[in-house]
Amino acid sequence: MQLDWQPLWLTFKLAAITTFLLLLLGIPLAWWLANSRSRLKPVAEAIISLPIVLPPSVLGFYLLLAFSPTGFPGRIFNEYFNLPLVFSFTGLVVGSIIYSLPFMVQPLQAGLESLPSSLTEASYTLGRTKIETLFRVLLPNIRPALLTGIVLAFAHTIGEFGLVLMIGGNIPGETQVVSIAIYHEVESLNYQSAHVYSLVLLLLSFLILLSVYLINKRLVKTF
Amino acid sequence: MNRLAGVIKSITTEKDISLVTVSATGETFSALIIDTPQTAAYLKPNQEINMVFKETEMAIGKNLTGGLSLRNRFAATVQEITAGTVLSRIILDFKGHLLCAIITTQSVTDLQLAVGDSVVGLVKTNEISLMEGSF
Amino acid sequence: MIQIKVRKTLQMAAGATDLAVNFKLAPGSFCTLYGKSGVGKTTILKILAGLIQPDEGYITVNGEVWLDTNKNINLPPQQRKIGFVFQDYALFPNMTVRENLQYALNGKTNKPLIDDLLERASLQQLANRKPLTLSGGQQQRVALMRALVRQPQILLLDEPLSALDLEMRQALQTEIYHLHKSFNTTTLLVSHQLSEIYRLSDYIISLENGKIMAQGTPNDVFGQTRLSSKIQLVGEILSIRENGVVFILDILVGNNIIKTVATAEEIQNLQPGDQVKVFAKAFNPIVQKL
Repeated sequence: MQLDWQPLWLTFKLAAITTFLLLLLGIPLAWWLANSRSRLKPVAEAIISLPIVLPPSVLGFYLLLAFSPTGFPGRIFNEYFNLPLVFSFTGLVVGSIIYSLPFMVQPLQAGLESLPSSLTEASYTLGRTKIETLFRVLLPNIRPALLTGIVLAFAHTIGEFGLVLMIGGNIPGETQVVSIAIYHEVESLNYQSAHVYSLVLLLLSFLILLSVYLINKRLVKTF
Repeated sequence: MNRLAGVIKSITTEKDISLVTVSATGETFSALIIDTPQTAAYLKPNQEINMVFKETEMAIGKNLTGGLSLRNRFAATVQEITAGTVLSRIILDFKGHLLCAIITTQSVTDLQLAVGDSVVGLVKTNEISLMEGSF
Repeated sequence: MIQIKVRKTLQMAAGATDLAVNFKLAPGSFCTLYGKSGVGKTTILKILAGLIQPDEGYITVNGEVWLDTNKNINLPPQQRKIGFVFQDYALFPNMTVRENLQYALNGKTNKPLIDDLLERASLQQLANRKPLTLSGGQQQRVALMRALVRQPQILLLDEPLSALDLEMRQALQTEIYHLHKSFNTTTLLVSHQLSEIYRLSDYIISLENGKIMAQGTPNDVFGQTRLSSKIQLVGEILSIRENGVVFILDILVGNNIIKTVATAEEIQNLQPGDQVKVFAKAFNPIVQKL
């Protein structure tokens, strides 16, 4: 059997890039949510959490409309960055970020909210800025939450199917991630390849989660 | 804590110590204190004052004869007796004011103290504190 | 001279309360904010620290304006020369004891200063430990030393000893007093422990429902009933035991436990933990050379 490893590689590339960008986006967002007393906070929380309850196809459908060259975001990306969002890897990354956002933001927000406010206040009274406080006091003390956020976002991106199908299609090397490839192989009655993809995904997911729980246990102990 | 309201009648001072006489419910009491009119502004005749003394510092006499150094003595009626093994609690009615004395149960037995008895309440002058205002 | 006049509406469990205070503190004084919980003592400390914004008012510290809502002046906490010791210590769990102190230096290094502070609090041996591995008293010391790293003009202590046992509390009271003297700070303590207040403070501000009810020296504020008894002690009731027709009270006064006899009427409103005044006539005690 000649197995195409490209979907696996593409899947992990997508998950890694998405997780990295989510971290950059999620930390300030979670920080704002944890500290905000704005009336807009519940609205923001609801929007961020939508992907948890919506069927991926619903999200995918709206993103498809938005990403298409006639949609506003699609036009911006097309005109200014020359990056089409529909049926492209870039589109998958943007879609995945929206899709996995709650899985990054929620653990971080919960972690930040669990820290006593006196830590922040103490840092300010010791002359440190908000940013220094975030990076030197807050984030180091929510390491388990950070790890949980990273892993959940990564794993959730690996596992997405409906959304990718809607906005990415099945273009080998561009948008054909493992979950799509498995579907494709099964449709072509190519069960052996489907088996291999599925098994690799299963084992990898298990190993990732196992290592998270092991590391988390150790992290908690050091405090 | 027993408390009796009265009015200062006279103050006799020797260096830092004063003997203050206080009139309360028609009886005259004496209190010995380490204060003088110079150190305590309330030490002046006709000043309203509270006398305060501990229940355990009050003694009870019945059919008293002979001399006694205690200056504060007043006639009262036994209103209530609560006897414990060692100590007893005696409530005296002193012209309508209720005062409490804690004395030994042995003494209650020896004096054959009973409710309704006419007795004499006794307090040493150095056991009475003066208090201006209230708690 | 420290001058503070602020007003803020506080949302309390029992509804909105108006916190409105106005007081002055002489430099180098040790002042205690006294009152029941929920009267706004901690809020006053946080307003001084710049952690809470009052609705209106001003704060001037030795001629420097820290806050003036009329002129839109409001120094952030980072620029106010304060040291704050929080009720829960607020030590950073991810840093060692030394790193916690170092953090206050803002990237600079000043090893002699840190070493000196660690030594004052006998923390040298523990310098490389994480705070959560220390006892409550040790954590309290770290928090205190960390608050002093920036050599603050005002030291703010929010019920710093409330979580500690009696013995540790008394040892730390002494330490706090010495630090206050040697760093020459103006110290503002929040406390409802009368014995602590009597031991430490030279000025008391008594609060009730967000307002100052009384201020002055401890005797001005608490010694209001004038009493001829010459022995007057302030202590804390440790236990009340029924003993026949009377009750025996164990009262902690300073380092000593004294026992007194009380009647049922006297103990009616008393319970262990209560702060009480104990007085006796000068004629009873017998004095003997040790």
